[in-house]
Amino acid sequence: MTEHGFSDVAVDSAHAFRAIMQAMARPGRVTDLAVRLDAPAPLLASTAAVALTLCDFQTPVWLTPALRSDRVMHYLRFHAGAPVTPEIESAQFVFATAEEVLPAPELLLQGTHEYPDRSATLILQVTGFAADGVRLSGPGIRGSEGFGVAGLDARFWTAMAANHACFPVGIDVIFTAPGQVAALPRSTEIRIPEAV
Amino acid sequence: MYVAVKGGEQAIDAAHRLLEEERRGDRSVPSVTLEQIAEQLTLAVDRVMNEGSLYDRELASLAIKQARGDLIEAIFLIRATRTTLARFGYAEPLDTQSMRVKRRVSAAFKDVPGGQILGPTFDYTHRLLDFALAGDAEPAAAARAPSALRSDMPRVLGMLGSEGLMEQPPADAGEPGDLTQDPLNFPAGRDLRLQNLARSDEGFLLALAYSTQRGYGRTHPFAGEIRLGSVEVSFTPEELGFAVVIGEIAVTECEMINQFTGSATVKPQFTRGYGLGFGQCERKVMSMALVDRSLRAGELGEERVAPAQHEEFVLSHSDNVQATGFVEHLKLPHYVDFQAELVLLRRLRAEVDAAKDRLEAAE
Amino acid sequence: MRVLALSAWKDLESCASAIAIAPYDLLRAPETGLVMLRGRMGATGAAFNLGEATVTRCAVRLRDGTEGHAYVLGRNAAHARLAALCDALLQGPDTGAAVTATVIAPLEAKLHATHLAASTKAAATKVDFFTMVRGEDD
Repeated sequence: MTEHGFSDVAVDSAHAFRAIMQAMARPGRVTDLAVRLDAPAPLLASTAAVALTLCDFQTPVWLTPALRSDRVMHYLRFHAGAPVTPEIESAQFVFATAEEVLPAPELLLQGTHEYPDRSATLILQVTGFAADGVRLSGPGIRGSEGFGVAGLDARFWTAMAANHACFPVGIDVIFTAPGQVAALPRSTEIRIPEAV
Repeated sequence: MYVAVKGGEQAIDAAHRLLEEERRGDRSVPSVTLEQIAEQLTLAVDRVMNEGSLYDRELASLAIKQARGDLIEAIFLIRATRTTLARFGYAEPLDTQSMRVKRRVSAAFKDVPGGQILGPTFDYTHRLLDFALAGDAEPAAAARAPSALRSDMPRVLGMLGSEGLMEQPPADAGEPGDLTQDPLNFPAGRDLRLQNLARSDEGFLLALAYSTQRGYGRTHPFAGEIRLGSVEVSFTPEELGFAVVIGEIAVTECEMINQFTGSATVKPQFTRGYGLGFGQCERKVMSMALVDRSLRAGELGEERVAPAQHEEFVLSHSDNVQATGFVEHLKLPHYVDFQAELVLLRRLRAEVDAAKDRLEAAE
Repeated sequence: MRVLALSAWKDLESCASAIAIAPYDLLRAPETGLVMLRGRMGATGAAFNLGEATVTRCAVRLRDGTEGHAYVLGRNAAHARLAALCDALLQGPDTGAAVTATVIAPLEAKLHATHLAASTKAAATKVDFFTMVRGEDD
């Protein structure tokens, strides 16, 4: 049983790409990603849309245990042509949910100073966003902005601050929530308030 | 320096309309169909597929029609089209051993097992114009033998290999490089060199191959085997996990036998050059095999003395889309560049005059 | 899948017109893309990338959940779609036998005849060497 992917691949993936690009260009700003596709649970439609837009046969994918079901793997293989790898260090896209123990960012492909693009992107599926939380600043943000993600604690933000410190190498994060997407590229500086 | 120049939009529109009219030619003559091009200008289609690096007879025919028969322009169109399509993956390597042979000749052995099969060749024609073709004369049907060819045509170079007289081809070494994904760096492996040569301009390759025969990096070649025919294409889709046959394509293959005098560690044996291309492209694959062998100079300890042995020279100048882009861009506006040259030249000339005046005044 | 991919579109179309088309969903609408083709150095050695080819793929799902897949060289969407449908039907015990008999077997025979005709034409161009004896020994 395979769920449907984009109904019009060219148009739908272009819309999704636009939303992801906007989210990347404006770190921490929540962007609508309205897509109609069937995704195998527990994959959200927005998570599936990001996968089908960004992944292909040249991008090995790694999944956390909650996502690593036969149906999800088959879905990614069928619609994206993406190989699912058991080795996180060779994955270009790592899919995770906020309810799980997250893989440490430093385990993921970091890229090199010569080729910083050869790094992994973490696609983190969450339940929603909040306006308060950490303060983000850097490219794409005027001054600084508050950003919060349901279910993520200080450990995550500390790890992401350490990730930013390695710039230009390091990973980028795309958060997916129902109908929404936001991003945290490695270029974004993160200030963690005392009481997060 | 490049400076944006505005204006000319209407002129460009009108130029394109004029181009379209000229492409169509006399409207009282029927427009050429893609089927006609694909069926009757077969070898032009093959060349566009090879150098456009895309096997699709229909698209190549359309490109030839649109380019008014300018094959390099057609190749450019095909390369541009290719970039609009997503790639599903890499096919399994073609098995030319199981080719359904249409032509197969060896210049090395007369009585080669499987026989010399001439196939649809221009060889042995008298190169006299056939004025009957100016009319609608239909040719006679091809002759048929009572039985089919053997399906397992033995390889000429394989037969030499069993005696140790022929070097073995390099063993599989993992994923080959792909110059459509990563820019070419030097030194390039033989995998990248062959990919580059397969999409190279036929005229450029032919001239280089000819130069090796005339003494610029001689390799003493014999055409060990040339094959033309169709091979099946297998592909493993990620979601299926096993290989499936997705169609068949026509290819031409050339295996060249070349001398090698041996070295301190290796006894003298024959070496090989390899050529493979889409459709019927014998001149191309023979040239490719000669240049492939020449580019192995470093590996075989030969002194690099000729252009065909210099990989950077060969690989950097073999692509006719790149070459035509760079040569033809000279006709685009360079007004500011040229102004700068003019100013400089006038100043230099004035300085020479001034110096001469000073010299004369001093005398 | 091999026979469905290798057969000419007009042959597939005429054979398939005889089968009852079961209702089906398009799991993946026909989509044209590229595969990179590969050769081997010296025909049997290490692989290299030769050049690309267009390919069209399609996937369908029958009402009973059976999925059919097709990848066919070229850009013929109808060919890929019909091949995917045949692939799905071939998996059913009853429909499989019917499709084998009405589609696969005749297509296979046609392919064989085409290949045989091409091969006998090529075989007619095979050189029959004979030795010319010059002069007399005595």
